[in-house]
Amino acid sequence: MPTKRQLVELQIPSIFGYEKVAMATVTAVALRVGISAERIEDLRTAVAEACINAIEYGNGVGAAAPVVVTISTDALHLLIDVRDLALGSTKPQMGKMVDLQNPPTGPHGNMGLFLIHHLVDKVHIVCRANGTHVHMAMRLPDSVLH
Amino acid sequence: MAQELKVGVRHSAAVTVLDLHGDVTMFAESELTRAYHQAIDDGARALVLNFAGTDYINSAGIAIIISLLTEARTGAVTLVICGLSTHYQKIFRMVGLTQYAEVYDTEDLAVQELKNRGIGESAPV
Repeated sequence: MPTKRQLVELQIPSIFGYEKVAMATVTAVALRVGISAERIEDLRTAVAEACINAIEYGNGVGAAAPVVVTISTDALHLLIDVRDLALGSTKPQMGKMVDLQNPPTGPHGNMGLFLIHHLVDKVHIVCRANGTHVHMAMRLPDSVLH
Repeated sequence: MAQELKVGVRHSAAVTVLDLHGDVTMFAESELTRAYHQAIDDGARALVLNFAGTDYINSAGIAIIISLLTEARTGAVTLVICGLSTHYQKIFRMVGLTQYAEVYDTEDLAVQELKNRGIGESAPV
């Protein structure tokens, strides 16, 4: 099992808009570990969507409930974990591509998870009674690995 | 924290341009629909959504764009998109929005294409 090194842990309140703080922090770390500009944009969007899901579904938009974002690396990846306190009553469902004949239902058309899955290299979601964890991994560039 | 969306409505040739400035999130709905309906009430049959002034669009914002597209199709209004960053052009392709609205790099390209196709304002009564 590759050794995991935690770099940054960040707590943001469950207030829409604060996902931008997480995005900025992840951007700064991703730049330091050598991820390309294009992939950083992908990561920013994925992190934003994970945070939004945590704010809305996980913490029921209870401002005081934190969303915790942990940024780590292992030998091959930049690892971003987003977790909430599972205070919300529903979990986000995976959406699909837009079909105007059958417009999406639900908030955001449930596109958040769809975007996360398509933008990062690995996604693993663990739902527990005390919180939902969204684990995302972005492969480090070959130039950094060798 | 969030940059509130403002939408300006202006005319370019026979086309109406909606200039978006700020974040396109769930909070953008009332302003976007206001601007859209203002344009339609003024007789617009071809609209350009200009995203050059935005740098953050999330899934809630995309859902609002989808609603506008649906309404435009129902009302036989041509709606095209311009000014998106390379990243958000990719996002729009990824979620399938580009099947329903053409995306141009710049406003000039969008307006020219609409002019070439003869799509523009409804004739004055």
